[in-house]
Order: sequence, then structure tokens, then C-alpha cells
Amino acid sequence: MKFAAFCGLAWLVFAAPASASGFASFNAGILAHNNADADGAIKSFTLAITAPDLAPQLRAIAFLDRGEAYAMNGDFERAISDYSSSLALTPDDYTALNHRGALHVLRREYGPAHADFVAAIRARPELATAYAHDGQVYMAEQNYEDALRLFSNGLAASWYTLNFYLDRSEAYRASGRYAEAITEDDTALVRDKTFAAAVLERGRARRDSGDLRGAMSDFKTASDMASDDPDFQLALGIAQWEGGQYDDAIRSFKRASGDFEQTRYAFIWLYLTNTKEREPDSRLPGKAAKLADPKWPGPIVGLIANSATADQVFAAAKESDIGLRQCEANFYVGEWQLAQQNLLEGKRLLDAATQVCIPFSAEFNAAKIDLKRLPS
Amino acid sequence: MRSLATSACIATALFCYCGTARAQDTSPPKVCELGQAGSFDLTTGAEGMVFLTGSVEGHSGKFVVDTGGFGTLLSFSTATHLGGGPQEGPMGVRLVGGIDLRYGIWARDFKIGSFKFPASWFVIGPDRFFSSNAIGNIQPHSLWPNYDTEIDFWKGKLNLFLTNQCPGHEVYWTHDPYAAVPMTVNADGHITVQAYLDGKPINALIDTGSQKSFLSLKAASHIFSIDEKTPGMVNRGQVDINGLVEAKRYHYPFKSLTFEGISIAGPDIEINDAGNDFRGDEIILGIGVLRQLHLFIAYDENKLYLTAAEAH
Repeated sequence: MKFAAFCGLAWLVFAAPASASGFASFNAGILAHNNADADGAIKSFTLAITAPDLAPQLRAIAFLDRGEAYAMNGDFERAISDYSSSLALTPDDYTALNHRGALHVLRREYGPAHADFVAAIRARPELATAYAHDGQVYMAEQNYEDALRLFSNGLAASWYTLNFYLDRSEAYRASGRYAEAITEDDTALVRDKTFAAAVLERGRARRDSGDLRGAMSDFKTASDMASDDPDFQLALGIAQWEGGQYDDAIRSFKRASGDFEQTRYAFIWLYLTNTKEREPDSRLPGKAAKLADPKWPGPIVGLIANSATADQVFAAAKESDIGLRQCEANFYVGEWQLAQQNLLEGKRLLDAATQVCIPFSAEFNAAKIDLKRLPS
Repeated sequence: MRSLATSACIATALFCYCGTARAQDTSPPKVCELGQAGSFDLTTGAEGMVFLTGSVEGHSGKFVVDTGGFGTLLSFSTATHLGGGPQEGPMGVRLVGGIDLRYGIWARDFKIGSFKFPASWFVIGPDRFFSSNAIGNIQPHSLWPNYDTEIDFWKGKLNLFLTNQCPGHEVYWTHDPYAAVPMTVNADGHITVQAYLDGKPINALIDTGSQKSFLSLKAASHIFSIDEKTPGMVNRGQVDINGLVEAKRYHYPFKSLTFEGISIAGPDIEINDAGNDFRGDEIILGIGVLRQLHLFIAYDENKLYLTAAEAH
């Protein structure tokens, strides 16, 4: 017979109040983490971490999850510190190593990023993610031979991860070895003929090799194969923009941006392309006002909506500590300056974009192309 | 582990329910002692799931302890490194969300802790299905059908006990109140108990393999007359179930979830709408709720004993 029934009164009601034990605070943190409540997770895990009674293994998870919450809030310094604390307790944790490595990449700390990804590969050699990440770091460093080595190792460990063919294609393309790049994409397509990303990547290789007609054919085919995916419509639009086919690009960006809420990047490209037309659509700034929010790339949309300044865009980019955003801020604000007829400032920013953007990224390519188009 | 004899007696003579011990006895006689068959360390992942450490053909890693799972599952990335090849199994596994897993693989050597198993059949699942990069899922009752199972989230232990040892005296770890809830166990080893959510009886699946606790919108509507427009209902967007199916996701501020004498205030329970593809149970209790409890699953008695997680 159970005690509660014996006594007739002992109803025990408990929850996980923040002021409770380390374990209760930990559980509250887990709930917040699983609900993507970054502030709630930080609060609860901080209580758990400072509680003297929390088991070391749970403390490692508390640091890991609080680090993730800090990362969600854009506080990468604290996030890295927490991942390090977690790894001090569980040194081979694959998730923590990948998380910390990814933040080092965003901060362009490539040495520590390599160290983390190598350790992650050592911990779980059968998993694909760390190979891909480490290879991408070498790509960012323009060390294409080592990138190819990592992608090949990844493919050997995880033969079913077809993205490694695309990664190798990108590395070959960046090295100017276009025929080998196209071979990689074709191999991926032999294994999965519905793999639209392989067709897209082959288009990029053909474009860079000078086969513009073949490239555009691939971009269109990929866009048709993945007609529901805004990213493929965006990629087609950017290719059309690069080729100066602004009318076609506008149609692609409209498909990509859908109801103007799906893809803010597509909307930004739509606006920037539209300003190159003789009769720009004057309704776009008004539509931008509905999309502008603090979350990146919201400040760029705010610039279009006249609710944010260029300085505010750069401040938001700097605040986040992500190199990628500094690239985007330079490129998109540069294009916006061109749209405002501020030629010198636009050129200066596009030139800066070519310095800070990762080579062969969309913004890097577009900045180089537009600089060539502009009068000297 | 404390023996039942030293822990089950409540300090006051009035409520001592363990038999003949007298107040002046310095060492009360042992009325019953649970026979422990195994004890494993549980580790916890980023989402709060719990794991046992094991190996398959020399590949070591974590296995999700999944009371709502089906037998033994292996991640695709691990299965591809085993000696044998995948093959279509005699029976598929249908996951929440209506996804079927049909392929599996035989593993010659499978260990959990010090337990070694003969050639074992693993259903193969996509990697994204496995929390915290675990290499597999195990349903404890399918591995150890002849033992009762205790899950102590607080101390991080999964203990196995011989059955039919101490009926009614399983809660050896505390003198605090506990609940003894009748349970039904289906052919897959899934445990369903009756709980009370905001005072209304509801059939609840005990699923340590589920990150969240949820009930279907259909059940919420039927039992609680809740729909998308009910005050307090918050739309939380979409949820990815098992990494395979998207469902509309809502939150409703339920006040309490009660198992006989044990109650959890403000349980975090989602209401999901993924069409009509949920299992028969009206609510699935996942790890977020279950972590607040200490469970003893007495298969021989068809009872689930539970206390607060930190009761000791």
C-alpha cells in the first residue's frame, strides 16, 4: 500500500522552481533549451552550474546548453567560454567540439577551429559533420589541397553523404580545375539523379570556366528540380544578376521571396536589382517596412525601408562578431549606396566586400562583377 | 544501494508498513531485499535524454534509453561500418509521425555495460533521429524482459532487479510518499498509465525517448475542449518530430499532472497537430516531465512506482 493512500493527505506537489536544487535548476534549463528559450536557459543553467550539488556530467551539459543559449543571443565570447568549460569536463564531446569550432570559424579564428574539428573527427570518425566543417575552414583559408583531403576523408568515412562531392567540386572550382569540379557533380548525379544541388554546383563550375550558356542551363534546371525551394530560385536570380539579366533576375527573386516573408535575402536582392531598372518599383520600401526586425539581415531590410541607417547596419554586423555579416554589410550597403547614386561610397564598400568576404561566396562574386561594371 | 530493509521503514511507528520491526530494535530484520541484477551509469545529453554506454562490433557509443522505442535501433552511420549488410526486416517499425523503418542489420557482438548479448537485430534509423549523436536506441524491456527497471535521473543510474522479489516494496530509496500506478504493457513493451492532467483522466505513454511531452490536438479537443482559439493557447510554430515529420505546435498552460499521490505543477506539455498519425495513447510523456521523477517499472506487478526525482 502506498504511503499517500495510508495517510490520506500526503499529496506532494513539485515543480522545478529556479531557486531549487542544482538538479531542479538543470531540469528547468533543459526545458528552456528544448523550447529554444535562450534567456530562460541561461538563467536556469547559471543556477545549476553554481549549485554545489550538481553532478559533474550534468554540469558539462549545463555548460554546453548555456553556451548554445549564449550563441543564440550572439554572445560568442561567453558561448566559447562555456563550451570550453564543458569540454574540460568531457573532453571528447563531439557536439561541444563542433559547436566551439563553428564559433571560432565565425570569428575567423581558423587555427583553434581546425583543432576542434580534428578532435571531433578523432572522437567520432564515422560522422560526416566535422570533416565538412574542417574542409570548409581550409576553403576559407584558400588552402584547397587540404580542403580536398578533408572532403575525401569525409566521403570515405560517410560514403552516403553526397554533399562531399559538391564540397570537392567547390574546392576544384576554386583551384581553377573546372573539369574535375564538373566530374564531381556528375558523379553525385549518377548516384542521385534528383540531386538538384549538384546541378547547381555544376552550373557554378561551368560559369567560372566561361561556359555561361551551359551554366545558365544548369541554374534553370536546378531551379526547376527544386521549384519549391526558395534557395534555388535565389541562386538562379543571382546568376541572372551576375549575367546582367535583371528582368529575369527580378522574376526569380520574386519567386524566391514568395509573399515577402519567406526569404529576406531574396527580398534584398529583389530590391537591389530593381533599382538597376529604369522604372524601379516604388512600392518595395513600403513592403520592406513589414520585414524589418532586429534579427539579421533585418537591419539591411530596415535600410531599404528607410527605418535604419547604414551606420546602424554596420553596428549590427559588428555587434554580432560574425565575419560573414561584415561581408554582407559591406556588400549590401555598398549596393544600396549605388542605388542612392553615391558612386564613390558604393565602390568603396564593394571593394571592402572583396577584402572581407570569403572568396567565391555570392557576395564576393557579385561585388567583383559590379566593380568591373562601374565607371572608373 | 541501500537495502529495502533499511530504507523502506518510515521513521514513525505509526506509518511503518514494513512488517514486524519494533521501535526498540537496533537492527530491524530484513523483510525483503530486492535482488539487483545490474546497475548502469546513465549519461545525459543536451536535450535531457539519458543514455547507456555500449558497443556494437567494437563501435562504442551512447544508446538512448527509450521506453517508448522498438527493440534496438542503430544509426545509419554506425550500421554502415558493421561487417554485415543491411537487409529488409520481417517487420517494419512505425515511428511517431507515421514514418516506417524497414531495414535492419545483424550485429554479432553487442554489449551494454557488462551485459553481452548474442547476435542482435538492429533496425536502422537515420542519424538525425538519434539525439546527441547517439549510435543507437534501446528499449530496456526488450533487452532485459525478465527484469524490473529502475531509472534514477537524479543519481544517473539505471538499475535492473529480479522480478517477484518484494511486491509492494520496490520504493527502497526513500521514505517520502510515492505513487504505485497500475500500468499496461503492450506487445512492444510500451508502458501506459493513467494520469490526471488538470484533474481529468488521461492515458499516458511513458516515453524516455521523446524530448518533449505532447498530446494531439484531437485529444486536447476531445478531453479538454481545447482548440487553437482557446484562451491561453500559444502557437509555437512548427515542430520536427523524430527529425522526420513537421507538426503544428501549440502550448497550453496546464496546471498539474498527477499520478495518484505524486503531482507535477505546471508540466511543460505541447499540443501537436500532425494530422491523425499519432499513436493510440492520449498523451506522450517525454523526458522533460519524466526527469522530474524517479521511476521503478515493476513489470511483474504491472505497476509503475514513482517518487519525486530527488526523494531520498
